[in-house]
Amino acid sequence: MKVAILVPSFSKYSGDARVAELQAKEFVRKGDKIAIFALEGDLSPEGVEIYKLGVAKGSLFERAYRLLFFLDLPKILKWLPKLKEYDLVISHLYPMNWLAYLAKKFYRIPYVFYNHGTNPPELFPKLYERIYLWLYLSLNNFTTKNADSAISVSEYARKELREQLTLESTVEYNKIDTTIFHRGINGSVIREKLGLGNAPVMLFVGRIAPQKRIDLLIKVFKLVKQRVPSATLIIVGKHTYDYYSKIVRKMCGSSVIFVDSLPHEKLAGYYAACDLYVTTSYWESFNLPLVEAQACGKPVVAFDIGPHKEVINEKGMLVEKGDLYGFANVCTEYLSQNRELELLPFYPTEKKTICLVCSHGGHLTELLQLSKAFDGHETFFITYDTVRTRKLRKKYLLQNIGRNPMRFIAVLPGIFKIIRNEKPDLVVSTGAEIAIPVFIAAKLFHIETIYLESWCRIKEPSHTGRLVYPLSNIFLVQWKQLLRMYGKKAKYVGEVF
Amino acid sequence: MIFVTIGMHSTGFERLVKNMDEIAGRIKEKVIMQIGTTKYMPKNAEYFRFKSYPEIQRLCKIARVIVAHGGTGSVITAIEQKTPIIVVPRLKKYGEVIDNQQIDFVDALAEEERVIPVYDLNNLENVLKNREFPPTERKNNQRLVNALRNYII
Repeated sequence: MKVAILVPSFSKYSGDARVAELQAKEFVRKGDKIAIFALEGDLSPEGVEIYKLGVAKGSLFERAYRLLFFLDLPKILKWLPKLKEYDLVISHLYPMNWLAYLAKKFYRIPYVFYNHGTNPPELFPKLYERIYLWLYLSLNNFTTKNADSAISVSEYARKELREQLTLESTVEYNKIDTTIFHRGINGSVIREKLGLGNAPVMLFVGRIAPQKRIDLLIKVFKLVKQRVPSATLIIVGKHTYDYYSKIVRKMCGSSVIFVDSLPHEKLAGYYAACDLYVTTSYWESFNLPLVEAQACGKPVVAFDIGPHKEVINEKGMLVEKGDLYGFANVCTEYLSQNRELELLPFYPTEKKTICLVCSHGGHLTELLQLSKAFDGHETFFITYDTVRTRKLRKKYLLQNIGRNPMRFIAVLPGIFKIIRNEKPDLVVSTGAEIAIPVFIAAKLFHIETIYLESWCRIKEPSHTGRLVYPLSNIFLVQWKQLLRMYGKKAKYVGEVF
Repeated sequence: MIFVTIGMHSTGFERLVKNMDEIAGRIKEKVIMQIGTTKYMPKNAEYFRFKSYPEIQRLCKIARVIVAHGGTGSVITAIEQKTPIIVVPRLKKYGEVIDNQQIDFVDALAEEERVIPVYDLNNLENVLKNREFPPTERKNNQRLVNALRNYII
């Protein structure tokens, strides 16, 4: 049988290429004739024919080119007829799907879509990135329409494919090259090279990209260092988003070591050199590095997201998504034998000024129930003037606004002045209407806000909740039933009491 | 002692204060009421408008049972002091509140068996005659605190 495997980048630095390479080798062993069609790449497995189609250089051009590949008619007209002689086409990712799609359409060649999943646009902070991914997703959708069958790299990816593209697929977990990734590799070479001595080492391998949430990994690492001061973090990966790399580097101390992406053979040495493999990624379809680390005998810690439940082994541990303190706690357990460390409290990674906003009655009682959440930070209140609120430590007391629009206008300048002078990093409110002017001021001064709908709101949103919903960065409710009254932003993560 | 509290609300709660005052005239047990801005002046029960928070906490602690409006502050304070609490929701039709969300709140808490609901004031006296109320427990709010800590980290 003659099989064409299409993959955008057939490079030894790419995870998808590693999967395609193993697949090609497998076919060769069975005696099939294999050709790889790739835009670029440097891998050359034995017995496999390789065709490089070429790609625009420079990260922005390259991305644009990949997205709009179908407009490059000369290239398509040059390469498409070559597929005529094959019995099967396997396409690993968009934009290679275009060739498979057209080969199927014009030459009736069986087309297998190999689904590695697509990054969810909402994890990307910039609008143009979300638009790019949205376009990518729709084009991916279009080019997989006539696929004869599909293979997903995990159960999770299979479910996503079904939901996004209504395409059924069978699961075939990615294989890893156990001649490269296995137990017993000597890690001391890399340790010596990086001057690590006996320091406990955490390792992450992957692109420096927003969906990998490396910003959270660095916060976790800062917490870990409070208990294990000698801990070191190594991040191996390609920098693909300049602004994100800048954010990440700015957060790091000297004990974070960045290493540019590595070819597989060298990568194995890094897995061997670490004590713990960590990833705070918010989205994966399989997570090849995690599995490679496990193959090298290392424990892994990750969030309980996507396919992680399917791929993690008994040595590793999953933590609730977003729980950085929990994550750091688990890492400490792996990195140190000293069980007493677990009793030490963590301090926030940076001391923030938090403005607590509430009216004077039940809303204040609710907010005070959460005091522990603000430990280690500087706080001040903006509330109404009553006997009870006068006893609060640091506060600004206002006249009760109630439902009087004149008083609402009257308090605005005062609130703007407080926010401008105090410059809080964050505003947290449990309501009621006093939150409205403060959230308006916070929005204007680009200050982050968290609104917690009152405990007494079960089915119906409060007027304040409705008004501040669009202004707040994080919006929480205390009853699950209330979620359906609000948009996607609203979350339920427990109640005050 | 029965402690009645209607919270820091800017509107009074005429129905509850009047009804409890009448009950106070018929029973032997002492009744103390926090009446906020209610216009009705109790004749049989001891009352005050507002007091400091520690004083409210003290009254909640020593009371046999608390009768309160359906506000979060009153419910939290009562449960914190481990005193059983009967909750009477404020209603929109009497101008006691701007919407009927206190009914939802009381319903939800009653379902979790954390408060004793009284929707019809004619039943209040009967419910108060009960000598034993189920214990009220506070829930662990660690999950919410932890989530906030993680947002603020």
